[in-house]
Amino acid sequence: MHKQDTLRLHPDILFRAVPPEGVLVDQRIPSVMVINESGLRMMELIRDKGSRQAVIDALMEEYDAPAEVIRADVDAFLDDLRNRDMLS
Amino acid sequence: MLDIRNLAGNTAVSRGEPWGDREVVLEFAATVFRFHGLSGAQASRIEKRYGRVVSETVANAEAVHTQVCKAPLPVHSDPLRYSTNNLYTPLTLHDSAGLEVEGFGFQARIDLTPDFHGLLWGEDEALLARSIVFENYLRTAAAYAALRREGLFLHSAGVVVNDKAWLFLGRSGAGKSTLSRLALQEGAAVLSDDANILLPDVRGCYRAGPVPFAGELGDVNRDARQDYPVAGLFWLEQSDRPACLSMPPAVQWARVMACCPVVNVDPHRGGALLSVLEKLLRQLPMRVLRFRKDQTFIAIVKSIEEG
Repeated sequence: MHKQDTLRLHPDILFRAVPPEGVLVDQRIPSVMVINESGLRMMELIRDKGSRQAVIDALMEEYDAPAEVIRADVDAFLDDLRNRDMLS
Repeated sequence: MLDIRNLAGNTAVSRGEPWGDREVVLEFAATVFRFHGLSGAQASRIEKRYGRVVSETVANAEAVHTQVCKAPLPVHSDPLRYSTNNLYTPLTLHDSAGLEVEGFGFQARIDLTPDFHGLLWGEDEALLARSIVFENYLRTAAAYAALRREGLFLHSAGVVVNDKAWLFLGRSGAGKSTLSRLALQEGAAVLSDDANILLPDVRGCYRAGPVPFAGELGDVNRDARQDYPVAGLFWLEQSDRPACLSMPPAVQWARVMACCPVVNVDPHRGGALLSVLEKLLRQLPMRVLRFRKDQTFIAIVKSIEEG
């Protein structure tokens, strides 16, 4: 369970949508990562909504998938970002 | 982190004593770099090294001014202070107004706002004019000068085909110098096998010009001030099956950004860099060029044109 609901990208992380994918730039390393279409949508929601629950709610409206699947996907994505120290 | 002296702001250029009263003006990629406060020996060395781009006639063009000063440097005991992955890497500290750089035998401050000006100082007269100091500083200044004009300093090989520039990017060892050598052997003009500067013209179309920093092949371009419209960007891969293929847009971004040294690690200018990439890649989508080292350049050109 993620207790921290507020989401904000670390200031050294740049994100840009390049449909159908996206680019995440970590200027501390430096490294550039390409994220797929699902990752792009989650990054847009993290940027625009700023909270885990809001991201999950938005995805539940957009995708015809069980809530637990969406929740698990979002948490896995957030875990990945946290492991890379990309969230502040 | 860095113990670079605090020289932020416009007062930077007034600090330190000049080495002399000589000025050297370098002009390349439609940019003028003026260095003030040089001694005669420093000016001679720089003019000799960069003779092709030394300018005698530029008077009123917008220029990047750098004051060169003498000042003691802090003593450090860490022999690896300027080493990253076994490569010489000056330390850089970015801020909203510009950056500070510290390397072997020098420190520098570059202010980007409101005007672009720099201060380069050290305690060894000869060392300051040598490539390990001067060229490192000039590369940094050139990268920021290009970004300031919505352009890029791009690690790439630049080859001129039918009066248009094709730029070849790639990892170390991908074949930039090999491809440049093939082009030279078959009579094509090479801008540089190491780095080129891209700048938009008045219509926003990108043009490529060489920089005076020699790559593996040395100074190969015929005219250091001649630029050409960019006709294509290619990501080099060596392969037994030559081909020219499209590339996913986000991968193009990642690849080009990785080839923008100096500015691609600046968090204060990251947004500006991404904006330039967006403009460039919308205009010139990058493709993958798979080639064999035993191909002729004409065959490589043909594979691009057929791709």
